[in-house]
Amino acid sequence: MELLCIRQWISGLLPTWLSAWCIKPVGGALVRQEPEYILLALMGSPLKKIMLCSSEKEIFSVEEQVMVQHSVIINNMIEDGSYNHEESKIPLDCVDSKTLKKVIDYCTHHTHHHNDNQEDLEAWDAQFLNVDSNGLYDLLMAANYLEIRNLLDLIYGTIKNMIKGKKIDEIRRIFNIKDHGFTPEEEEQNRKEYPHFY
Amino acid sequence: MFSEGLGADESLCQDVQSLSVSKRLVRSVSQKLRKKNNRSAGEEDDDLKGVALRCLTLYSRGGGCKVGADTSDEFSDSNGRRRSSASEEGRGYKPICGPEETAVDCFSYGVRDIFWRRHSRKNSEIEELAANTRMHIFLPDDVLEMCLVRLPLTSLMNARLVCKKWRALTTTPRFLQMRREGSYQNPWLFLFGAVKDGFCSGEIHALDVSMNQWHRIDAEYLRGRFLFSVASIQDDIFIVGGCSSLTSFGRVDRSSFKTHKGVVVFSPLTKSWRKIPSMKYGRSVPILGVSEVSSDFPTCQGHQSRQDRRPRSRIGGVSDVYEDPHKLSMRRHCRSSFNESEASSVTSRRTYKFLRQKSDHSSSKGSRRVLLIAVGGLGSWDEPLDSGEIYDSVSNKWTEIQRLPFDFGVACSGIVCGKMFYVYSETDKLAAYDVERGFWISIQTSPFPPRVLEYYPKLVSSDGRLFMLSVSWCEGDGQIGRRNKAVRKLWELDLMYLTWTEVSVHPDAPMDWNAVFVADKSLIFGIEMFKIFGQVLDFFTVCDVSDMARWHHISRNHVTHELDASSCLTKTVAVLHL
Repeated sequence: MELLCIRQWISGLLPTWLSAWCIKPVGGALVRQEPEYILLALMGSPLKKIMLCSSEKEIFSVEEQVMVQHSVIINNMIEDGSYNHEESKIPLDCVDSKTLKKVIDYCTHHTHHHNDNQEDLEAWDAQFLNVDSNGLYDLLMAANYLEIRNLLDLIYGTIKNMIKGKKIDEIRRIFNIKDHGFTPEEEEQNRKEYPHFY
Repeated sequence: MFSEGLGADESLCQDVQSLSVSKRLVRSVSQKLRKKNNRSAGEEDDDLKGVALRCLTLYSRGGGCKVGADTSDEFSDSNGRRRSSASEEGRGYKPICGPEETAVDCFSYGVRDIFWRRHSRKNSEIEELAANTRMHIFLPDDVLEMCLVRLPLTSLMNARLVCKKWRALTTTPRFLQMRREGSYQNPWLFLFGAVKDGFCSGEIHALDVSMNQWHRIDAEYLRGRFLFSVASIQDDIFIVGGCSSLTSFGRVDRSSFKTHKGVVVFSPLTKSWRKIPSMKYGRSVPILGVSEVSSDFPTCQGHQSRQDRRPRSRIGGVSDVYEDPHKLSMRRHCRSSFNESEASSVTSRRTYKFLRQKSDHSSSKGSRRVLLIAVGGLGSWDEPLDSGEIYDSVSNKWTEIQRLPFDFGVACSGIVCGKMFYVYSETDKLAAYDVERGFWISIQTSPFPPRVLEYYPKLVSSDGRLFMLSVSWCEGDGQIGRRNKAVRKLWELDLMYLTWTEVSVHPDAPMDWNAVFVADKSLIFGIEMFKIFGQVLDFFTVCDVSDMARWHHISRNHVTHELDASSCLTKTVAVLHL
């Protein structure tokens, strides 16, 4: 707990000249930025940033452009002026830090690489979603809350692929369906009529 | 205390050890799984090759051929191909060409596709599966719905059997509507008219185009019936007319047969059949047109049949004057409208009112109203017919419509495009029936593309556009000026200026004069079947008219290698978006 407070205090203290030299505080740590931004920063047009606050009270600084493009909720918040760039941060109480980091990662990558070809993007997405079911669930809830359409579609597609082409017994196992709700006669009937599905 | 402390440490160590052991176990289990799959793949090779050989011997009875050998090679080729099942859905239909996973399923539903599915998983997927085999978290219903809606039809049917909740979620009208609107549906081709060993088997072969899988449906009703026509709309296929042999039941018998008036509707989703009222005239191979209209679509028929009477001579007949004067004035109206080729507003208003009353006690299908038109075809003595009938699902009966224009000839192909039912004749004439106003219009277009006489053009309609597939001569290779090669081309009729323009060239040499072309959304499917090297082969092609209209081959599975050559004649195809 104390560690977090110290981190925030340090990042609050960081002078603007340091951000101009493209070292930004992300999650309390100091992270190097991409070269494009170095150039832009040198040219004197810093990218507008917004602050997102996770449920664990960790602050993440993200480019406004990135989040606005992907998240409908954040877009609405910025548009209707309730967000003040100098002071406020957006509290996201239902998203924990780990998930928020991942979500920011997704949005950032898709904004910067939207001109890439389809296969590369898909490969990156597949790698991105290579998480366990808890992580997937957290991502799903976060994307749902922030209304990030393409991440939602991606996750729906992933879950759909867990169902598609699988046998019924396997699906029941994967989705932890202990009681299928059919009467024994119905189940018997189904198994007889569609044996290849089971 | 000392010993206890040690004991605690020991137990800790043991715990740690057991944990690592279990990790090793997991790894070895996943390895075993992988090996098992590989082994089973190896076994499957033999199994599938074995089946292919069996098919080959069936054909050697008919006169063994090398082509059978080719098909078995195809099987072994595809055995070596693996494909990830991720991210292939939800993108809508894409033309399948190049190396693709194929699954042949002639004999039972889904037996072989099981092998293919198990076989095609990449190793990484298997590992992933071992890692996250369990969704510990309970998915909320709306999330579950969003995932289930993206499933293709066969997986959806599967999902419905998983548990009662899933079944309830996926059968609500809202869910089905979401599925329809979200473009998660794919085209399915239904091949009718299969003849096996001389018998009209009543089998329907269904091709799931997106998964490239065949399924077989047994249709009792169609046993023994041949030369019927099919038309599809929404989730239903109308099967109209046809013949059946009188002497030897079930055989394709062109010498002694009965022509049917009956019409039946098949719904593949529920595998249900229902009868609708029969036509007035028995027809085989009628030209069909089907369209869905709003419940208050004004249709003008019923009294049109009076126009069909050719002008009677006054001599010898009962004078018209002594008949009901109201009828007389109606007939005068009709005849004048016939001459002007434009229905008068009086009569149309009257009929409109009449039909509006009827629609008050409409069928339970809600606002869905389907019009089915059947014209032409061959009658009970194989004579070409020029009469036409229209079926309205709201009134649930057939009414006769105006006959085909006088010098039209024999209708060979027809399709509904917009509010018109276009019909093409064997003598290269184009006419359209205005469904709303109830009369035929002869359409004068720019000269039709010159064609090879035996191949009658086929009309198709896609995306509100009218197309025609016509076989014509073109220059052969290396011989400029000499027309010695036949090629099938796709033409489009500009509905405003009535000019034909060539859109694309079909890649296959036209070997089947009874090739069937059907359209689904912006895709046109071509189905050709012909007997070559002693075997009946089928060729499926597709083109996307919204994108360059280039033709691609799909489904080289040759499901028809067990069918008779007469299937080429009796075949007919319907396409549904399921």
